[in-house]
Amino acid sequence: MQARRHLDNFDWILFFAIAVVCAVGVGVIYSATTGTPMAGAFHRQLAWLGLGLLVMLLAIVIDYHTLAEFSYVFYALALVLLALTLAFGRVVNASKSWLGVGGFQFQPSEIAKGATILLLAAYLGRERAPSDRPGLGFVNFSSLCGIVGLPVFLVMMQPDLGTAVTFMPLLVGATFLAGIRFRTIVILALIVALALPLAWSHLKPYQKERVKIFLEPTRDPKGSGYQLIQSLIAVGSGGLLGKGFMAGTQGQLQFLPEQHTDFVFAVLAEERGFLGSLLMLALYFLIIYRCVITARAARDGLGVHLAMGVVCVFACQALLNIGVVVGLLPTTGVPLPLMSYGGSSLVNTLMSFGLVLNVWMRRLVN
Amino acid sequence: MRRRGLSWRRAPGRTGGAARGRGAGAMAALPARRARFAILVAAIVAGLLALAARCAHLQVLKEPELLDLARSQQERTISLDPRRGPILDRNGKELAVSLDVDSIFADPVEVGEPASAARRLASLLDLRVPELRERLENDRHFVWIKRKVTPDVKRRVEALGVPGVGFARESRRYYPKRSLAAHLLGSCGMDNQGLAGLEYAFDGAVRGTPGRIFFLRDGHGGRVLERDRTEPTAGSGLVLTIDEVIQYVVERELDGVMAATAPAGATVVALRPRTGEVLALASRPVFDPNNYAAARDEAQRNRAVSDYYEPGSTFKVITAAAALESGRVHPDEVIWCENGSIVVGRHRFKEDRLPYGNLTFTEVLAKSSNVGAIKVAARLRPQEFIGFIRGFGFGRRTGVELPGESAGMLRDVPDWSGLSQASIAMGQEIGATTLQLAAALGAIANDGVWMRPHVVQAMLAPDGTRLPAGGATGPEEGGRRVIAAATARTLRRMLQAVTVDGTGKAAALPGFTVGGKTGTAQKIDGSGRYTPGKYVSWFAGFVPADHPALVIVVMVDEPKGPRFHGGDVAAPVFARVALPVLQYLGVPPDREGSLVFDRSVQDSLGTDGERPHGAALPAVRRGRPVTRSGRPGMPRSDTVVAASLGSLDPSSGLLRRGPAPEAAGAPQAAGAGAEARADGSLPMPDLGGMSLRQASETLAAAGIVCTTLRSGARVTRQEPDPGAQVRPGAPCAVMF
Repeated sequence: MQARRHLDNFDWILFFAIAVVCAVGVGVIYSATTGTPMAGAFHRQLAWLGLGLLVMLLAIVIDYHTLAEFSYVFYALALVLLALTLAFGRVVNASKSWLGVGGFQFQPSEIAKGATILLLAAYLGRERAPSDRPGLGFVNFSSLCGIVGLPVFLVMMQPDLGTAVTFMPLLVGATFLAGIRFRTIVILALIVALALPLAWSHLKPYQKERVKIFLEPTRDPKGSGYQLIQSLIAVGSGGLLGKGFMAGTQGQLQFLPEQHTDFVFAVLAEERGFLGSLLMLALYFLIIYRCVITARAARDGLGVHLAMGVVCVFACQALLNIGVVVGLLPTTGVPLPLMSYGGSSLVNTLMSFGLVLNVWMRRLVN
Repeated sequence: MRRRGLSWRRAPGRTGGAARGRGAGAMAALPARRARFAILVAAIVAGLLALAARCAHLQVLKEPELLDLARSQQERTISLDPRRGPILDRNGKELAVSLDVDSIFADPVEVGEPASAARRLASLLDLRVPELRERLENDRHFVWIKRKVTPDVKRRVEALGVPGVGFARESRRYYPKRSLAAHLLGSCGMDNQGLAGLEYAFDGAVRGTPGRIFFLRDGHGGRVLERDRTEPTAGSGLVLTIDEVIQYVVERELDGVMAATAPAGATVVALRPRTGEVLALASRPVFDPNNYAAARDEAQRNRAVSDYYEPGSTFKVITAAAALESGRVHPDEVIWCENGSIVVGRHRFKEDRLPYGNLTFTEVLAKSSNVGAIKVAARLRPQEFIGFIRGFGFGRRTGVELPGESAGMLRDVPDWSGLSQASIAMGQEIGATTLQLAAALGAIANDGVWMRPHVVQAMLAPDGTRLPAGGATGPEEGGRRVIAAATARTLRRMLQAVTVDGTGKAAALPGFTVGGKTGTAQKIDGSGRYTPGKYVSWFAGFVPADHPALVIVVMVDEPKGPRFHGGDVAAPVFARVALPVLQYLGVPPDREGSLVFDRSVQDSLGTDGERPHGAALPAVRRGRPVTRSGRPGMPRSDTVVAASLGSLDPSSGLLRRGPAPEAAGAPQAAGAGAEARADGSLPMPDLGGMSLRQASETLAAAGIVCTTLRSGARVTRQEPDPGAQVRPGAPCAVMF
């Protein structure tokens, strides 16, 4: 009976929007990898999609309050995995971000993202004394920073700046939503002002180069700037209606770097044109919009923060990725959630949306 | 079920407790939070809108530009060279052909070690190591290493096995007869573009249409997908009016005069007066079109059409034609030649050699009297005179298909000085190309009708169909009547006297009547004054005089040595060319005559040793001179003809033909099947029972230039016997 009611309250719109984006993603990966050494990637992506839907189902059926209760456990587990990655991880592109178990490989940083969202929501949604002043005090804020900072630190050690950056919207979104006291802002501003130059000097040379190249993309046409130019050519040459499925020359001829992962949107834009791009942006907006509706409708703080945490991470990642593809942002190496090839990201994203669907399904108090 | 129930029960108790207290929806009681939601959503929407705007910018506004960029990096076309059409002589003999050759290229990215590769390749290919190395260090994927190499070099490079080195088939222009007809043919550059001569003038048609391979290149630079391929279309061939054999004879004699008199240059034009077809056109110095880059500028000039010279006394022919046609003079009219000089205005014109008293007008021409010519020309009004001059084609291009043709030099009457008419009458103050003079003489030989000289007979489509050469230069174009046929005939009879007892005796031929005119023009230096000691020697003639089959004009520029007169230098060349050519063409002799050349013909060319290539001498000299009654034992009624197998220059490639596989149309050579031997000796064809024409054609087809045949009935005897091996140049006799 309860199951029946939950099914009635299920957010089919959100679910189908996600499913469509995933399906398009698999199609684009098929187009982008056929005839390349990565051919067959779409098979693996389909397998990951299956696994992701399974995990999603789990994240839906188990009451999010129960999950929140165990959030400390998940979080601790994620930190351990990150630590293990630093110790035993496989080095890809100069960063240790993959952990292998048998023949099975995944990125613990993605799992850590989900765990952090959950713990953060649990922390912010906890019962608070009525006497508490609204907004976050310095101590609260420091705790938030700690919760986010710990995995971020471990991820940066790999070093994987791109993934680390995707944790940040979690902190910003939560802080913004919960409100912050004026004094906290002042203190924070001071700390940032002091830390920024220090952080710049600690950035790796390749990271500095990325920022510089973003500011002046033609300065290195065959290097990192090359990626950007190729991406712009791919997107722009798609035109209004695109070159058609499997006919995007930039992608098919492998001028696009990482055409099935970080630049998957460029392949889509080239083959489907401006209309395709617009449609895809609309789908992403629909997903985000349904998540925000869920947050608004959530029956408790945990639900609100859970949904908003997911949406912040998802939206920022999508904006960041597409922003890079169309040359509005510097190259960061952030995958496009739901579309880019990559199991860990897909499974984690689907799991996160499972939580949102969970919150929506259980929005009504008995 | 159980599990879900459990979690549901537990939920409100913990984290959700406070929210539940605030009612349905955690947000309801918090307007501030609602505003923040709005702001957050607005920020995200703003971000998405920014992306959409950017997509519109890139995909709609900048699409053309970015599409161009995409194409420029993805699409590549390779041009496929078309094969140039062949250039053939009038009998289909190949003068210029295209051969497939190999070119060597490299993909520097694959070469790996440019330093060692450059060292290994350079020595083999005769290239410089640093240059080659630089090319191999290029980051492109294609560089030429050396183009159009011999098969042997290709094999050796292949054997080196340098990685990244490949071979491409290209076509290379090859001129099998080397310098033969070089000025006519011209040459081609490395990319098969016509650079000079007919190769240049007909480049558009002969070159063909290049094909192309359109392919896509991938991001790694290597893998390619061929998308589209257009095969090249071969160019059209040219069939010339030139006859290879006649051209050869002409060039052989040019070489002879070059060796004997060491002039700055010399040209010969031979044409068929009735049609204007040029049978041979050659200049010296010459070049090898297979190696055009090495040719000196001097050698590249086609003097026969690009350079004009004062025609000197040869122009008296035109003066005579004008005066006869306008009825101002009669061939037998006696002209008082003033004992050697005449004053016109303030200038005294003198005779070149001897002073004359009374001469008939015919004698004026025969002895080339300047005074006589001036006096006769003075009877013409200037406009009348220049009308004839123009009519004969002077002062404008003939329109021959060759590039760089000069119009010569002819001043308009208003620009004439008081001396001009007198000067022009004797061929001064006027410039003519050899071809112009040949065409003008052709008009006289053709009963007064000027035919446009042309060298291209037809175009040959790649599938072998003949197309008209096209344009205003086509042979079909009707001629232009300049003088009446009767006038032309009269003039021809007068000009015959030149070779009988005039200045042109050296041009006389045994068995044929010859008409013509000598000329010796003093050269003008840079300041416009005549330079002593520098002359242009001319002979312009036609043969047989009554029904000319051939017009030949010879020009020798600055002959060295004591003899420089046209009659001494140019006229003998005419004779040496005309005789074998007449026989080759099968022109029947039109008079009885001694078969032995006038001594002067032989003397004027110096010693034998100076002859280049050891080419055969004018055949008559090597042939046994036999007079009609000279050989005892021969029946008197028979006409005995001495002939000679003229060896053709082996380097010209003519000899290798053996008994003429190409001459399928010719009367079958008796020695068919017999091959030319390694030592160059040829089987003697069986000429038994053949007519004069058949015999001469058979000999010609066998690569034998036979010099003298006497018209009789049929061949009754020949020496050597049929089938015997004949060394080139050995004497042979044929009896009729």
